[in-house]
Amino acid sequence: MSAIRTNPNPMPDLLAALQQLQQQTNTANLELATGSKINVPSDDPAGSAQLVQINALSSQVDSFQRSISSISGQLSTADSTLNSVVTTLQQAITLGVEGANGTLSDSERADVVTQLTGIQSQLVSLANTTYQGQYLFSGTATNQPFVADASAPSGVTYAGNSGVNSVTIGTGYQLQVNLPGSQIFNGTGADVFHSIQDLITALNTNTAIPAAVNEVSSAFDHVTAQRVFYGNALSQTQSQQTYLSTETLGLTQQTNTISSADVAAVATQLTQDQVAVDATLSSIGRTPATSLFDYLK
Amino acid sequence: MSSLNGALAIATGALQAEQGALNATTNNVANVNTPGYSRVIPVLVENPPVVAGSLTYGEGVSLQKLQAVRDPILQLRIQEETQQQGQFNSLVSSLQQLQVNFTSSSSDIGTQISNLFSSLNQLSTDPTNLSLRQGVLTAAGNLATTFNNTAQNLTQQQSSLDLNVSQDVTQVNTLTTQIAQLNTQISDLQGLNQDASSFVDQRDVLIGQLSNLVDVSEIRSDNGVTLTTGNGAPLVVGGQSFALSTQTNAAGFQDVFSQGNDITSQLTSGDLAGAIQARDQTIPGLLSNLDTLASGIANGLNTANQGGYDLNGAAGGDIFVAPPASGAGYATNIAVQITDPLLIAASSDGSAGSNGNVAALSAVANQPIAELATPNLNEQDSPATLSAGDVLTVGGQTSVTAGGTTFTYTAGPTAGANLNEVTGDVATLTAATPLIAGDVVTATRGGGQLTTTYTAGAGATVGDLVQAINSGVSSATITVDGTDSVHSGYQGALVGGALHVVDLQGNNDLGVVETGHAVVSSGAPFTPTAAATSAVQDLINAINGDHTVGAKAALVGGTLEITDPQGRGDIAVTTTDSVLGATIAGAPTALRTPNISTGQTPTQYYSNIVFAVGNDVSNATAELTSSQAILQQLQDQRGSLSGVDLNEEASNMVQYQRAFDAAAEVVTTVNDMLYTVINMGTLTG
Repeated sequence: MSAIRTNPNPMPDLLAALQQLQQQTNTANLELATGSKINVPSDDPAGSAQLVQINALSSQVDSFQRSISSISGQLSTADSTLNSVVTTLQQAITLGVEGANGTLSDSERADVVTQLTGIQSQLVSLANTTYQGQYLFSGTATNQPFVADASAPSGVTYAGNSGVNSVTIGTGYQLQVNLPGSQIFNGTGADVFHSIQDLITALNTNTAIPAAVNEVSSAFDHVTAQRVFYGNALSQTQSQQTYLSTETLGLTQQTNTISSADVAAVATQLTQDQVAVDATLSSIGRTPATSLFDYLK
Repeated sequence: MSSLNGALAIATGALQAEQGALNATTNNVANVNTPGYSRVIPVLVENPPVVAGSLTYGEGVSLQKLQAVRDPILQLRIQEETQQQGQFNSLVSSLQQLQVNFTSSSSDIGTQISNLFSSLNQLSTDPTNLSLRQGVLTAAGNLATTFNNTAQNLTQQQSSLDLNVSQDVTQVNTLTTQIAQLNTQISDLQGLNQDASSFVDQRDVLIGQLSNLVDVSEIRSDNGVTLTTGNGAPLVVGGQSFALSTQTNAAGFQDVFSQGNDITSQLTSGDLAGAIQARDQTIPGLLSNLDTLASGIANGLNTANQGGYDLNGAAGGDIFVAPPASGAGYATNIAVQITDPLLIAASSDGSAGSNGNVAALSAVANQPIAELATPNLNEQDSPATLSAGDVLTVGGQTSVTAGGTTFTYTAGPTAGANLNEVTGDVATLTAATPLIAGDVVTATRGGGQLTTTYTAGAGATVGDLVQAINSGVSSATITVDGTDSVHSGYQGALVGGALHVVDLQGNNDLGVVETGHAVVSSGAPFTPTAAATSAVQDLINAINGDHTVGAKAALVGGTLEITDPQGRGDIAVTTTDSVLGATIAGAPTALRTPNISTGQTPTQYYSNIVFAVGNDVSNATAELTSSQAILQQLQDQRGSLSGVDLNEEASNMVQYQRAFDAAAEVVTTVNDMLYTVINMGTLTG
């Protein structure tokens, strides 16, 4: 009678095992329901910390993308406005060449001047183009950049400033989004408004018309060159947009690698746990309900 | 001697013994489900034989005692493991609630930080747009609210843990009272040589419950069980129990006291220790981290905003209400300072359409979080500053006359000077400066048990006083009042023209050198110049720079606070001169050390907080699981030793019954034999 005595009451052990299985089943169910294996920081402390940083990065990428959408409209409006300016200047040059034709009568030249006056006000209006209430070519000032001024030789004064804004569209990637109007329209020897005014004066006086046309032509070249800035900025936003989409994809993949539940493995584990629960329950059920006492009749 | 009567007596004895044994079985069967019950086995012994001539006659059996089967060592192991389990259980359950605050969601602190910087990015695309400006303010407000809520959740949990501590102490006291009563009952019964087994079982159950609450050391002696906490504070000695009590500390929480001694930080296991650990270390650490993070973001954005111009063209101001220098409590209090979206300083040159300063605001996202001043201090409000003409008073006197000359204050030792090294610094208050009759220096040592008052006599100088203090000898010109002779453990020093007395004496019975019990007073009145602010600052620097003293000091709202970085409950904070009429009086402050190194961006810092929380929970859970497994195994062992097995009892019962039957048969037989003997005469007659 010296066999090792076993614990006659196995119930606490079985219940503890059952509780542990229940816990595992709950965790597995939560993982399956959320699709994530990190539901509280303690599930994977290092992974949770990484997720905080990845989430911050992906929020940053989102905000870069939103910034790009916001500035794209502004950049395309500026670009197409400058396209109109260039086209209009082209018309002025054509008119100037026409006016330089010595066979033109005074009244015919006056007609040309009338057309040029129209072009002049059209150019001022283009230079004062707004996007969502903001003047595109006023630098960082908010007031109307080009105002009529009879005292100025060009008839127009620049009231904006020379400030430029940059917008961050990537980590450490600052994109300049505007050129001050003075730089575009008031180039040295290539002033849009001054050249038109000079052409009108030349036509009115019928003197030095070809020189005045050349002046407009210089302004045309200058604005065309300035317009390249907006074209470049637009293409930079487009390629950055593509890059950011790739980055989003990469971040999503990282997130998945860190936190995605391995559904197949979890489901398998869940099934195994359920089998174990059944086995434990059946073991509890089969714990003898009788003892030797029952046979002592 | 062999006789029929003798045989009858043996058989009767056997009947009694087997009946007693059966009684043990009955009791075992009855208690099969009683928690803590230890099975009882009958101890049957052979009676001493009788020798008659060459024959030795057996005298039958008797039931010596009913013995409970238990293993005291196993019981101790169970108690130890129960304490571990209690501690981790309490820690895990509170940490699990904590980590909910740091679980990734659409409104956690990390997300709100990202949202704020995203809103700034948007603002850069159109700096005059009012809705984008409002977006930044809203995001800043959301971040502030999230900090507030998170910190409040932590504080609330701290309060409920505090309630836990009080309840645990009450429960400990109830249990120790009951255990003491059982001790008395057990020793009474044992004194009468009676069986106390059932009381011993009850006591083991109660000690088990006590172990769940507090670390218990158990010593078994003749007069019962002596229980103490792990560090020796008495709980039960024989029939007497020693109640633990609680006292509210400066942080508003309950400290645990035993016999007048603060044992809060000495409890190492059990539910009580787990609750105290979470309340005094984990949560304050987290709060401190949050304070540092919130202050870092607020300071960064405030500074950046001040560097730009708002939409009105005016220089920018603070976006967030400025955090205190130490950042203490800022996560709870952080709020947006401005309500007008125009006031966001997006412009770098004053023109309305400029977004040049937004880049500076956004750059805060990549700036390292700075370490805050005196992070050990629980600062309640901004430091008070002194200005020229402010008068420091000593003992109610504002006179500047000392020794017939006007005393001018200048700044004392350089920042970081060792307090011990500045002895003899007499830059302004010279050793020759006469003390004014009535100047009093009071030194309080070791939590206030000893107080020594030095009263300057006529003609005494500051130098005499310093010497007296440092040498521990009273001089002719210094009268020493009080019963304590001047201790060599005091260090007198002139710091910035003020006399400071520091107790460097270790309170040896705690085994830790207790320092930082600085007692500061001045021997002479003086008037500060504009340098007065740095006078207090010098003291602070001197204390903070002195690693041998190990104390941390800071000026908090006109109060000089000195903390003990070792975090013991008896942090000594003492008084110095009155500043601006306000007494510089200290109060113990809670230890708040951020456990995350600074120098990281806000997001990195936050991710480290998340890691720390997750790691704490995960480690504590692992410990709990292993503790549970060990405890279960120990309980199993106890069950296999002391548990009642019904089959065994049934077989014992059969055994005892058979023996009883047999003994009864013997009685019948002896009876028959006696009958035969009695009738022998009749047959022959």
